[in-house]
Amino acid sequence: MRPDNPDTISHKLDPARWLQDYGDVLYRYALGKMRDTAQAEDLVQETLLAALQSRDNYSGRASEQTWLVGILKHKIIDLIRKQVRESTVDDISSLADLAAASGVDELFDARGHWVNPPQDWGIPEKALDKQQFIEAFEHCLGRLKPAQADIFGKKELAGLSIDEICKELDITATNCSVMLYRARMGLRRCLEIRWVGHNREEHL
Amino acid sequence: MLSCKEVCYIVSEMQDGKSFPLGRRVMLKIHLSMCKGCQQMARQMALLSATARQLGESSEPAFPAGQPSLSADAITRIGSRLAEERNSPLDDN
Repeated sequence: MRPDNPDTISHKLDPARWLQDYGDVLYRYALGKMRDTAQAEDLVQETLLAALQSRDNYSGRASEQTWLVGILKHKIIDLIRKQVRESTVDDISSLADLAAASGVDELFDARGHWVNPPQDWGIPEKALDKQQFIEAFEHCLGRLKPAQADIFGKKELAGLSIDEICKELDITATNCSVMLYRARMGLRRCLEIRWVGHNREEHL
Repeated sequence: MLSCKEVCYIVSEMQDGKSFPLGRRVMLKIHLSMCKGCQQMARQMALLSATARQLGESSEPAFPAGQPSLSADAITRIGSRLAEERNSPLDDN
């Protein structure tokens, strides 16, 4: 008789039960990071498939949930890395080179001048304004592309350095700078529409 | 002469801690002194960082609001994919 009866293992580490017991936990975690239901569902599936393939490596030291969330975290990093690589150019040495080389986009005309010059936001000073501004900020953060939001969060909310972020995601410093630039410009534009629009409404 | 677009990139990179040679910094100063749009942009970029830092200190919510759950469709789909994988002979890839 074999010591490791496969039936016993598969009974203990049963993917159908993982889905039932931890599916929502994994889904919420993935959704919190990616904010896209389809991507979050795919991540849950990818995680459970990877867990199924590597279940022989599960030592039983960590709880099943911790083990599965650990796999999910790796899947999320893989996905973000893929999104960063797909959306940035590798062979540039600095953002300024990219700015000089790239053509028109929606923010700038062909000569690189503002199409809609930024407006005065009237930096919020009153406490109420501040709370409303933070709400608008969170809303806009939620509308960034996940890879941008993730990197912006690591840099500005968690306070990681560019080097640390590059190391964690295995991307170049330029890739990282491009993502941060896009995140900041996206936030800026979103807040301008939301915040300045809100101020205008109030002063009517 | 720097374009507004180049100025945006430079301001963003400066926030990431990148340093620029003196010539570049002078060109940036000249542009900013003449361009109201870029002055606002630079102020806004600083405000974004300050707000983010403030949010970071009060810790960000890890999960989306409410308690979203996998849809029945997703459970069925993932469940059958897992069953398929489980029943297929194990390969090494």
